[in-house]
Amino acid sequence: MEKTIKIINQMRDEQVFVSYAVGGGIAALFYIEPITTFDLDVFVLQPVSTGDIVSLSSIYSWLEKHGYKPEKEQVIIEGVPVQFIPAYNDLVNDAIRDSVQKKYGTTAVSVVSAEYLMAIMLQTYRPKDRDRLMKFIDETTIDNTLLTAILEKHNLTHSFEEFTRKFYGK
Amino acid sequence: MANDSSRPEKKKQDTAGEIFRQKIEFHRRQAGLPIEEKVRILVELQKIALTVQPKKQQNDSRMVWRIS
Repeated sequence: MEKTIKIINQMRDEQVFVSYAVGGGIAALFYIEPITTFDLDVFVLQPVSTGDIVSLSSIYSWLEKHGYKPEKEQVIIEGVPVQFIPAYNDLVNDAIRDSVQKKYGTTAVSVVSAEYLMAIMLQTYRPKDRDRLMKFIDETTIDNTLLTAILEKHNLTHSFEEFTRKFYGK
Repeated sequence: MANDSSRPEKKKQDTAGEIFRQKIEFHRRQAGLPIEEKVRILVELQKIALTVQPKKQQNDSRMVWRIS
């Protein structure tokens, strides 16, 4: 996966997108036990000039030029299916801007923080998100002050209270 | 005389409690593994998942990662 990350970093350095942060299952992997996932989700902030219409064409063009062809909604980059996801709301925007720097091998990688991942999972709230939320609560250290601030800003406090009441009885 | 009938039950509860604690500890240890090791495990999980639930539809894009 290190080669894949290097390509993504190169794309950022060449300003194919302004910035990125790994999200989804692979981001969760930095914090919790191994879980099954099949692609590398990469949230991206695109240049303002692209306007209101979200377009991945510049990303796909760069990738094709470098020998990586899209297959449906993903691109196989160095053996890893990657899905580029333009920031689709304020929460994801903030998650990218406040991403944390991790290392994979010797390569730096921007990753959505545990607290933002939890907020995003509360927002999307699929069954697998609920499972992963429980793993975050049980298996990793959370900055509760930061989490509270994020939830309040994005109107997710009630959702989190409902979640903890339902699954933890508190 | 002590209530002997409660001892087997208490032993069962202690055993179940210990198993539960060990499970939690196992999951926390797994969470603390290096990311590179987690990705290696992920690839094994992908192989298992595709064996248990093979692709049936053309639009199923799941694949085992081709990484070293």
